Amino acid sequence: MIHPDADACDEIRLYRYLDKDLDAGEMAQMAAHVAGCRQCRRQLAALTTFSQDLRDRVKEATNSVDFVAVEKQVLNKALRQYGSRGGLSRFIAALKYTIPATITAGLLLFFAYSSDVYKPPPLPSAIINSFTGSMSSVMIFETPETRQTILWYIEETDVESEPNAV
Amino acid sequence: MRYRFRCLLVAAVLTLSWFGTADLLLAKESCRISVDTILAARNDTVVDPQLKRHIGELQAMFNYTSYRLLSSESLNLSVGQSGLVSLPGDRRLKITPQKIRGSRADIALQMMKQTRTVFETQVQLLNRGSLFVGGPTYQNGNLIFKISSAY
Repeated sequence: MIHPDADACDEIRLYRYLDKDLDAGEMAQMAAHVAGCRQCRRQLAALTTFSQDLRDRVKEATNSVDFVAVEKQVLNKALRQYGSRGGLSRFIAALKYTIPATITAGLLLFFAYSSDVYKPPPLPSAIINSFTGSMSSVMIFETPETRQTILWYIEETDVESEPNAV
Repeated sequence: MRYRFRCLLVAAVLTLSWFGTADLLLAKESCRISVDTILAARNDTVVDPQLKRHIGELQAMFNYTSYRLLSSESLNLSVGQSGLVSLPGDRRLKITPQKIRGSRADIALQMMKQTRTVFETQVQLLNRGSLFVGGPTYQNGNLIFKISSAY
C-alpha cells in the first residue's frame, strides 16, 4: 500500500510532522502513514537532509563570525551618531555654567591669594620727601629686614654730648 | 532659575571687586597718629615689654642696651588738621596729615625745641607703618620717637 491515507500525504502536515508540531495522535497517525508511504518517506528524508544541511551551514557561518568585534563596531557607530547629534549642543550648554563658575573661582582664588597667601616684599615704612632744619647732622636709613625707616639727627647743641650714637 | 543664578553670580563678582578696590577708590579723610617716646640708653639692660615687638631690629642696629617707653600719645587727625605732641626736653612735634591715598599718608612733621624749629619734613608714611625719629640727647641716653599712622 503506497498511499494508505491519501489525505495524509499533505506536505504541510509533513513539515509539521518534521517540526514535531502535531499533537500526539496526529504524530502517531503521521508516523504510521510515513512508514507505509514511500513518497512521503522520500520527501521526509529529503526534508530531513536539507534541514540538517541548513543547520550545519548556519552553524558553520555562525562560528566564523566574531561577535565581540561586531558588538564593538555597533557600539562605536551608535556612540558616533549620539555624539554628532547632541554633543555640541550639550557642550555649549555646559559652557553656560562652566565659564561663570570658572571666573568666580578664579576671582575667589585671586582675592584669597592676594590677601592671605601672597606676601609682597616689604615696602619702606616711610618715604621722606623733604627735610629742612638746623642741626649738626642727619642720617636717613632703614632696617634691613622690615625696612623700618629711621631718621637720626643730632641737634646743634647735642654735638659734643652724643656725637655718634649709631 | 537661570536668571536668578546669573544675578547671584554678578552680585558675587561685584561684591568681591568692591572689597578689592574700595580702599583705592575711597579717599580716607582722617587717620590716627601715634607717637611713642622711647629712651635708649646704655646704663642698664631693661627693655620695656611693650617695646620688644617693635624694636627688635633696632636693637641689632644700635649699640644701646636699654629701651624705655617714656610716653605714648595718639591723635585722630583729619586731613589738613594739625596736632601737637609734647616731648621730653621742652620739645614739641607738630603733625599735619596732608593727603591720604592708597596705602600711604602724606604727613608734615615739624620738630620744635623751645621756640625754634629743629627740622621740618614731609613723609609718606605707610598705613600701619612707623617712622623712627631719633637722636636728641636726654638724661643718660637718646630719645627715639616712633611715629605711626593707621587709617
